[in-house]
This record gives sequence, C-alpha cells and structure tokens, in this order.
Amino acid sequence: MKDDTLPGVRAADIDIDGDANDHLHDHPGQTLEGVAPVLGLYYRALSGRKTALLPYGDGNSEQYSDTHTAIRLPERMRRFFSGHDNFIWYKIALTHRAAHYEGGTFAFSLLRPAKHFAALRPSTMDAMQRHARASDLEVFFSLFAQRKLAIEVFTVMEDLRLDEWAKRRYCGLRGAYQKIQQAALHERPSLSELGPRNALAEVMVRISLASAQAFSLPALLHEPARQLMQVMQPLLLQDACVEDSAEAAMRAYCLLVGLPNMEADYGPSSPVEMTPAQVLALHEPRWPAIWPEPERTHLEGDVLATMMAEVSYRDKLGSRFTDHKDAGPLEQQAIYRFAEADADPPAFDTAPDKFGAERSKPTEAPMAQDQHEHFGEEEAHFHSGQLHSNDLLSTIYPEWDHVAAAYKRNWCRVKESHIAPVLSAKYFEQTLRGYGRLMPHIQNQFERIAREGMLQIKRAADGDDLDLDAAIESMIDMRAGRSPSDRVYVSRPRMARDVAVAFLVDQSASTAEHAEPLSHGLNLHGRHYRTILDFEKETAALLMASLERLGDTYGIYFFSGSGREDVQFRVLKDFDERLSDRIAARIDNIKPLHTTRMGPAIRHTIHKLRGQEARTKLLMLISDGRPFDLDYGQQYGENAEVDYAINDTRQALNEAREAGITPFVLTIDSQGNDYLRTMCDGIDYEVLDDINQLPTRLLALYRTLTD
Amino acid sequence: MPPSQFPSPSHALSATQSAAIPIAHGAESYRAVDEPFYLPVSDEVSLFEAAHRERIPVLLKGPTGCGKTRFVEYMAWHLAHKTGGDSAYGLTTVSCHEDLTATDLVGRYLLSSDGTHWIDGPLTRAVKSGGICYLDEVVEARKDTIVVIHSLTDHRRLLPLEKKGELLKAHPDFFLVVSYNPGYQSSLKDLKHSTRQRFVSIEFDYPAQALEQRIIAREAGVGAATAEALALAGVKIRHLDQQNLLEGPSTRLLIYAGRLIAQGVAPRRACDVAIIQAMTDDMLLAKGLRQVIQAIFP
Repeated sequence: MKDDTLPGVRAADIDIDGDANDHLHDHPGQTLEGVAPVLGLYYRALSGRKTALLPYGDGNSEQYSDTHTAIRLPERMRRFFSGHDNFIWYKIALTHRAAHYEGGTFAFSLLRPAKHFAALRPSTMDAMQRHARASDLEVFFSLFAQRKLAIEVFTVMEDLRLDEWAKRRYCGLRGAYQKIQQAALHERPSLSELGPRNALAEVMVRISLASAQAFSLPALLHEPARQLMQVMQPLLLQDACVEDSAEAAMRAYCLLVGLPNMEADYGPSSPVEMTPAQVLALHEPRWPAIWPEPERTHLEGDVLATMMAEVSYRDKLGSRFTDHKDAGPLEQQAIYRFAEADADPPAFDTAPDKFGAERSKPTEAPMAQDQHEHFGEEEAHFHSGQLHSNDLLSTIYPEWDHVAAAYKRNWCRVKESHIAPVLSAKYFEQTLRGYGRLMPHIQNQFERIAREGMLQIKRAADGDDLDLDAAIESMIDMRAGRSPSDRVYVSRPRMARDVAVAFLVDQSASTAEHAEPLSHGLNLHGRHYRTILDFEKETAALLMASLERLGDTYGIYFFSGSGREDVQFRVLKDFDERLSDRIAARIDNIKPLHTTRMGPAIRHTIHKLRGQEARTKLLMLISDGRPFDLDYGQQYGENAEVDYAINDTRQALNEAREAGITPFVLTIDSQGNDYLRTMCDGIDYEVLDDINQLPTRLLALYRTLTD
Repeated sequence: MPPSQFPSPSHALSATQSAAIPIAHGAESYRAVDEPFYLPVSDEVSLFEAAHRERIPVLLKGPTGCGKTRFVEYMAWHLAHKTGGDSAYGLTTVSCHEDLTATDLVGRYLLSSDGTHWIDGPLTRAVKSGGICYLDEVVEARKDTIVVIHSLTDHRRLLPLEKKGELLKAHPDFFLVVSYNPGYQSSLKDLKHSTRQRFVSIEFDYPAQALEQRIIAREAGVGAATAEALALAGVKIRHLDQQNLLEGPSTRLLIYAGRLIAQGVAPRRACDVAIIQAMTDDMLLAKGLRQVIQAIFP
C-alpha cells in the first residue's frame, strides 16, 4: 500500500522518521494550539462535555489514550499538503471521539440484546463475578482469555460502527471523513509481511476503514477473511448499537484466535473474492457456546501476541471503559510521559494475559510529584480536596481552573469577620480633618448627584401624569383657536437613586509599603510617612462620610488570606449597618495581612450584592498589585500562577457581570497595565500612577459609575 | 404618547367583545380563529386547565423562543373550545419593558377637545371584559409597576383605579398569565417574592429533539431530513451553555433557519444568518458554531 500515492497526502513515513527537512517548503501544517479554540467549542457542542485538548510531541508517534476530561492530539499535523486538510484531520479526530459519547460506547449493557446478532454472551453473565464497581464493559472483557486482544477487537468494531454512524449523522463531513479514512488506509502496513493472525487483524482494521480494495492473502486466510467481512457487515447498518459491536467482537475474536500463530511466509497470496453476494451466502460457523472460550486456544502457543497498528485519527479507549483499578496508575504514568517529552516511550506491550498485569510500574519519583489532579478520572477530580463549610461565617466557593477549563468545586473557604473597633474613631476624624479643605468640594459633587436623581421632567410629550400648568395652557390655546401643544405630561425618570455599591479593598502584606511622601507635607497620623494601606483607609473614611450624605447603600470590605482554606474577608461597614462611631473606630484596626486571592473575595462580594435590592449594583475592587496566593495555580508549574490567578479573577469579575453587577478595578500598580488588560477583558479598570490621587479619583469615579 | 393615538374606551370595549380577528389599533387583544399549532411537551395543558378552572394565575418560565407565547395563544383557543365556544377567549398581551408604568397598565386621563377623559389601559380592559391577560417578560417591568396586579391575583380579584378612585371587580372569566425568562440570572431582573408567590409556575424548556423536529417541519414547511438536521444542530449548539453563550438557539431561530432553507437559501448560509449571527457577535464562538453547522449540513 505504501507504494501507492494518494493525492494530497504526504508520504506516511515523514512523521515517523521526523525527516521533514525536505518538505519545509510545503505547508507547515496546523498546530493543535491553533485549532484548539475553535475545535474545542466544536467538540463541546458535539459531545456536550467539557474536555481539555492537550498536545503530544511531534517526534513521538506514540498515541496516548484519552480520559473523560482530557483528549490528546498531536501537537502539529502536517500529514496533508493543504492546511485545510490538516485542519479537517483534527476535526474528524474530534468527531470520532465525540461519537463515543453520542453513539453510546460507554452505555454498553450486558443484558441488552444486540439488534443484528444472536447472543453469544452467556445469559448467566449477570451472575458472574460482577462486583459493585465494575462497568458492564469490564465484565464483558473478563469473558476472554486474551483480554487485551478482546479490547482491541471490540475497539475496531466499535470504531467501524461509530464512523459509519457519524458519516450518516453529519452529512457535511462525509467527504472529509472518506478522505481521512483513505489517508489512514494509505499508512497501513503491508499484508505480506504479517503472520496469519496479524494479517487477519490488519484485514479487520482495513475493513473498518471502509477499504474498497480487494485483499490479496494466502489461501489459509480466504475463508476467515470472508467470515470476518460477514461479521462486520451488520455494523454498517443504521440501527446497529454498541451491543452489536460486542457480539461482532466475540466472533472476530474467535476467528483471530482460531488461526495458527506463526511467522509470516505461509503460502503465496491470491486475491480474496468478497462480493457482497458471496459474503451473504456464507453460512455462519459454529461459534463457541462456552465463555471464556475453552483452554485450547489459550494453550496453543501464544508466543506472539496479535498486534494491530493504530489508526491515527482514532482514539484509544484507555481506561475509560474498563473502570479497571490497574488502569489508574497506568493512565497517570502515560500523562507524566506526556508532560516530560524526553522520557523513553514504553516498549510495546506484548503481555498475553491479564490486562495490566505486566505493565511496567510507574516510577516512584514522577508519581510523587505528580500534581496533575485534573488529568485523572472525573471522580478523582471532583472528590479530591473539596472543602466543607463548618461554621456560620465561612462560605465555600468554587475556583476557575483555566487549564482544565472547569471550575474546581468547593475550593476556597472565605471567612467573614467584622473588624473589631478600637476605643475612639481617631483615624476617621484625623482623616476628615486632614482632608478638610477637600471635603466641601467632594461633598458638593455628591449633593449634586443626589439632586439629579430626584428630577422631574415637566412638559413632556409622554408621562405618568398631567402637567397641570401645561394642560391649562393647552386648553386655553384650544379655546382661543390656537394650535395647542401636546407636551402636557410630567415624566419622572427612574425615581430617586437606587444604588448599592461594594468596595473591596486589598489588605495584603504589600500594602505595608511606604508611599511617596506628599508634596504638601500633610502629616496626618503622627507619622512622617504613609503606607499604601493608609491611603486605602483614608479613602474608606472619606467614602463613608460622603456616601452617608448621599444615602446610597454601600459596604466596605477588606480582604487578604493565606491559602485557599483561609481567605479573610473583613467587614469595615456592611450594607445594613449605619455609620456610627463604633464603625468609624474600626478603621484603626485595619493592618496589612498576607496574600491577595481575589477570586473568592470577589465571589463573596457578589454573594453579598445579590442580597441587595437595587437597580444599579457596583463592585469596586481596589488593589495594589496582581492577584497572588500560595496555592493559586502553582500546581501547573513555576510561572503558571500568574496566568492562573489572573484567569480566576477574570472569571470572578465576569460572574459579577452576569449577576447584574458592574465591576470596576482600580489599581495602584504602575505595572498594572500588563496584566489588567487580560484580567479585565471587557471590564472597566483604571491604573493610578500617583497614590495621592486615590481618594479624589475614587470619589469622581463613583459619580460617573453610578450616574 | 400623543393623545390622538389612543382610541376611546367605548371603542376598545366593543372591539374586544366583537369579532374574530386582531383588532386594528395596534392592540393587545385578539381572538384566534383557527387552532394555533402547539405540541404539548408534558402535562402543561392539563395543569393550565386546572389552574384556569380555579382561576389561579399562572406564571410561565422558560428560555426565549421555546413556545410560551404560542402556548398561551393555544390555551386561549383550547379553553374556549372545551366549553363549546366557537372562537377563542380574548387574549390581551402586554410586552413588559423597563419604562412600563402602572399607568400604562391601568389607564390614564387624556386631553381631548372637550376636556379630560379617562382611558382604560390594557389590564383594565381585560379585567372588565374577561379573557386572558398575558404579561410577557414580566421581569422587564419595574417592580413597583407589577405591584398593581397584587390585589387582582389573590382572592379579592379587584383592580384599584387609583386616579379615578374606583375599585374594579374582575370579570368572572378574567385570567392572568405572566411569563419570564429565568436565564438572565440577574437578581436585578427578578420578581419580588410577594409577586412570585401569587402564581403557579409552569416551567418550559426547549422541546426534546424528536418533538422539536416535528415542530420545525410543520412551522417551517421543510422536509423531514432538513428538520432533523436543524433539530440536531439545536441540541448540539445548546451544549455550549452559559459559559460560552448566554442562551442556546431557540426553537424559533431553528424555524427561521428552516424557513430560509424552504425559500431556497443554502442550508449552511441559512443557519449562519438565522442561528449563528443571531446568537453571538464573538468571532471565535461563531467559528466554532460554524464548524458544527458545516458538519451537520453538506
């Protein structure tokens, strides 16, 4: 087959040898990175599953099995000359993977009858060693002496059924599907170099790829090949189901193990005649009635295991359907290899007996530091590390993991507490006195907002009530024979202000840094310097004084923490509290704490804002730097925590928007522009160059945002 | 609104009481002559009938374009036919919006050449004449507006006309239905509990694939294969839920796409303009959706 050329397809051995230099002038192919955003959506739409698309290395042709939450595809695809065809390859690979879920591979039931086959599965199977955790597929595979071979045969049968199913269901892909299958056929090993079992297995794979070519086989294989064809025929039918694949697999398995196990060169080849009529005319052989099949086949000298070359666009089912305990570590090991591209690929597994028994054990070191929890099976993913709320004032929130593109459930504990007041509201009063000259100006601004909110529009063309003056004038005009005005209504736009605002202020350790000294040498707190936190506290004091006059509902919260189990959410003033001396005296007790885990703090603020009945809801996040915490994305490597934290924060801000809250981020970090652009995609933010501006700027912003 | 556009109250009343077709003045009440096409998804018809017999107001909730309004039209027809009437109950529909005030619902004084006179709002007309009053997308209205229906929706069945100083007793056939779309997930757009707890709530969702296929085939007039493909596209695209799209494609959009196809537009193009462009402005998302459509339609 390799000698044949297929238009548009590169010679198959390029990828395997890695000898691509001659072809550099050709299309560079498609990278998974390039196609993943679009095809990720495509796969999710088709399968209804959230799954990460992960790459494996270019030089390594070893195919990895998928899990329910992660799909692995080649990092780069340049099998075809045209970029579009390489894209199509990825698309078909994903369509095939989605078909496993849509077409019900994992919904296999031992007891459901097949549609096109009489049952070979023993009727007593249910009573067989079924234990609680085994899936039906796993019990099914325990029927076979050569379990690994059975899994492979079943996979080929199921692939055939699903590919045909997908071609019918997705008419738009039919042509593309055929093209990819043709290309896959083009890469198959030559039949003449294979022993009888391997050759028949190869025939099976080619039939599953809808091969139209006649096979040339030694006479020994003619009859089994025709029988194989007959067995696989029903899987092409529209209503074939996974149980049909299982029954077909039992028969194909019998045909394979019924052959002598010897080396190649067992007679001259001649074309097998396999017209549909001939295949239909075959009478079915007598299949074994007892399973596991009698010892005979097992003992016949299985020195050589049956081997099948992979079809590149199809997936390996891996541990997904076996539910096999042994499969856990194996899976993880494979993943580790995937992460460490330079590790040696494992030897081809030739273990003839129990699946997994002779797999090399994963080495200790990688397992010990393997923190890729999200790569594992769903169950492990969801049941590891979840937190529970055990007191009234702590709340558990999820966290967004952008690598897995999923939420980590019950991940962060937010502990809410009121800041304890000191004896007198010294800080508050000092601040108001210090900003005394500024205060009338600020308060004027706020009173103007209040007045604007109460406006009535008279002489409107439309409104709830008649404007009496205008109506009378209009009547006079009418009686006097002049044309009357129709602007005789009073309209009341929007009512008074209906605003709830939450200020969320960073109280992390970095706010202890000294700020630039003030130009006018204002010495507010009996110290010759002021910290960033001082400015935040002063701003809080000014806010409280101003907003109290305006009558808006507002809350001021400080946050910090140390790790996901301990996010501190400290209440300076809650929504339902009125400003009092006691509350003003809380400001004195705000001290710098630890880290800045913004996500959970934002989520808790959203929770608080949800409880407010207001037309306009605003969340103002005031921070001195980017989000950071001890266990905030570090599991993905050294520099991953920046992206992780920023993505979680962005997700939390988006959640706020979805909850009808307008988020706004104000940062006092001169490098803020770098990450804020990503973090606040579509969300308003501002970077302050000079911290001295914080109080006035925030009050001005408040006015524009709530207007 | 300029006074001239309002009809006189007597005009409005006679119109609702009279014949069979939609009324001319852009209005809110009409009677269906033919049976509206509606395929029941589960027990919503019998629930609605029971609530109607007891005159318990009904709240329909569900995503946009899943058939809430059609269901109300159907029920107006169905209830009248069950009792032997030859045409449907009058159906007064008010599409709620942010600037809708209680005045808009109840009525107002207007000026005319010989003084001021009162004009009933749509709710008052329905209360007087009976029939179904349907407040569509009720959460869009301001909460203080919706409070006017409170006394109508409990045992009192009274509508206070504050400005006239009148208390109006509802017609025995008056029946209130409201709808809203919980998908917006915004506490701004939520009903007051005191309002909500005056209704029995019937939840709507997109019909199952096979049912949706029948609906598309019938409404768009396309063949079974096209309808099947459109229904499949609907199911698949709805997998991209909240996180990617605000709301999945409605049955209505699928029907629009079907109609375009019936008019000779190429299927992929029809889906592009009727479904993808209607749902998102995001380029990447549109590309992903297009891949789904290209897989389903040749």
